[in-house]
Amino acid sequence: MSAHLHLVAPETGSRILLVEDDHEIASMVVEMLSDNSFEAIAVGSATEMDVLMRNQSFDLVVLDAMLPGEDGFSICRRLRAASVTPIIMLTALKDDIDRIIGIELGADDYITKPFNPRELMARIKGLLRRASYSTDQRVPQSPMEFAGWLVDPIPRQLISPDGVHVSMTTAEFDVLLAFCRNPGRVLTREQLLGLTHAGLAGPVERSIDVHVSRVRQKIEPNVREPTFIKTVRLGGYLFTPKVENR
Amino acid sequence: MLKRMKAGSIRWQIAASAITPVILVSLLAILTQPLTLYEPESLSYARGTAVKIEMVTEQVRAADTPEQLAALFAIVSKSGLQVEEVSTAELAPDASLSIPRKDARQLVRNNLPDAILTSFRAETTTGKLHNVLVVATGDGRALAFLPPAPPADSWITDKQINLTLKVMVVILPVLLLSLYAASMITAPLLKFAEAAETLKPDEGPDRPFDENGAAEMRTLAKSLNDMRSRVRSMIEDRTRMLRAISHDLRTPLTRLRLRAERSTQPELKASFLADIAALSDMIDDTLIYLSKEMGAEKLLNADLPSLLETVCADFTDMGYNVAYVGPERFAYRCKPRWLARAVTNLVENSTKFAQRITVTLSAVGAEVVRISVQDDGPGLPGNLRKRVLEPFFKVDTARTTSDRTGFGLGLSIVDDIVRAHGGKIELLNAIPHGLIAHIDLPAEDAASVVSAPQPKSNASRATA
Repeated sequence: MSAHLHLVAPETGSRILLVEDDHEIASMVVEMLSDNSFEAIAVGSATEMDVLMRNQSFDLVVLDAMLPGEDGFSICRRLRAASVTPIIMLTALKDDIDRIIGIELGADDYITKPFNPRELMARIKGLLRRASYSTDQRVPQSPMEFAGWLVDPIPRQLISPDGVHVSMTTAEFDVLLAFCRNPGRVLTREQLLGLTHAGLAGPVERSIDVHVSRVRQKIEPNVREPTFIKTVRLGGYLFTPKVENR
Repeated sequence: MLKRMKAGSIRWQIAASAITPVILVSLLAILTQPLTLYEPESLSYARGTAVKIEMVTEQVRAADTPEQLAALFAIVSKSGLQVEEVSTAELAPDASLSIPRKDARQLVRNNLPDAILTSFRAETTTGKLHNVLVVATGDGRALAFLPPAPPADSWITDKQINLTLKVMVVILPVLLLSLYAASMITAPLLKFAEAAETLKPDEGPDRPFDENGAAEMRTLAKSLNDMRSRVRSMIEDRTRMLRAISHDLRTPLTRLRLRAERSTQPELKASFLADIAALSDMIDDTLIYLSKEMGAEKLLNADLPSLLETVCADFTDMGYNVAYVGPERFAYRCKPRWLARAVTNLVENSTKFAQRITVTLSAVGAEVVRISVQDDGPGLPGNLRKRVLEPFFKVDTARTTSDRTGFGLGLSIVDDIVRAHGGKIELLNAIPHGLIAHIDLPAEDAASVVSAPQPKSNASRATA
């Protein structure tokens, strides 16, 4: 278990609804969530979910994409039309289109099966933390622009001032998103780790500095003298460009 | 001949079968025409002149007075045939003269009845004319005729021209009509071929073949459209099935994974997780190979170095030694996710056999950009280097240094992706050992790839 997760206060006591038709998966996830001091309830279909939601409220919904009866994508669209409750989709397909469609339908995050339970925990915590911000800070899904660069969070695209698509790893993009959402503010390494899911993907845990230097490699005009991402002595990093929402 | 015609264009077959009878009929008509048709102008002239001479001699016999005779000569001379009276002595054959067979006088004499006495004279003692044909009148007199110069024989007679024109009047419209008819009939076929060529099974209109025109064409278009609908529904069925299989396989895998995470035995847990990851990758590979949804991603202007660096970073984050060597910026029009998948598969394959892997971006000439993946593994013998690109082909597992095996689809996916980009892949052995995979992609501005010889190390860029 990576140590950094404990640096961020877990949103204990949050109520999480899991919509998953496989009982064993559901019970194991519920158990894991309970172990992490969440209050979790699992249902197996849209009908059960509707019954439950009539008189209860939830802080977050984990939604399986393939369900008997109404499927997860349709439920997602319906939920989003009625509320701002964060939604994480569980998809069986590693198909990018499905993921993107899921997010365009209003899902806040997605995770593919078979998933790493720690990653699911990290994403739930990240979403709950974002949900606790004011609505102003919660519009980060719209594209952002800095110094001619375009950062589009939904298709996870970075486009250079020349209109060239620049590839990034998941962690690099998360780091850049964290910077773009907090321009002109010093972000500590711990904060950056908390704002990203960096380090969860592989067995080797990379320090945040590695990801930051890779981001610099891709966006800085001169890597030797970075002007966009400045290192603050003993503090962390500062993102200097002006960021505009588009 | 018939075989060749059957294999030829329908257009020409139709044209030929319409024209051939017309040509045969015209030929028959020409052949049955009387042979006189072929009489050259010189012959008809000779005959005409001979008849004139006979008529003149007859009228000379009938003439009573010298005045009448003079008037007759004047009229005849005006018509081009000059004539005068000479002494009968001129009728004696002159052996010293040899008149060629083709001479006008010779031709004229051949057309006179044999009963009429004639001779040739270069000069006559009494007359003024030269090179004459002397003809006996039959009543003790003789006439010297100088026939006009015969017309030159042309290679085609007026009558032949006449006939040819008549034939053309018949053949030409038939010829044009049959060509037009042939192209009208075959045009829809060509259109069908074009539609079939550009047809994509999962995109475009529902019924791409135009169901108009001749009854047979309509039937053909309809059956082609029906076939396309069947293909489309087959593809849809397959996609649905793939999704269902994928989901059904991933559910138990997720269960396994969650159970494995709870295991208290770390070794068992690690091997469980590795197997689950391998199974999951195999499902991914199969789905990617079967779905071939490359069309779903748009062509983008993508930065190749960042794409390759990202692939390398993903592997170094997993603990492998994978480095990128090449320029810092190079924009290339491609499907970046798919290209990244291709390079990922190559690197992944190398991680099974080798310790150090280098991904290089360089230019080969002015129009080819090359992505190379080189490892320091054992390499592959020549006969296997082609076969590893075949789907489901696996190199003997004893060769691998790890227990990660797949379906053998990884490299065929690479091949598919590279070919979809208009490029080609080549596998070579490195010296002293190792495998090099060259992906050569067409690029208009490949020359702008200026290779940076120094690999970028983490040390050089971590300083800030």
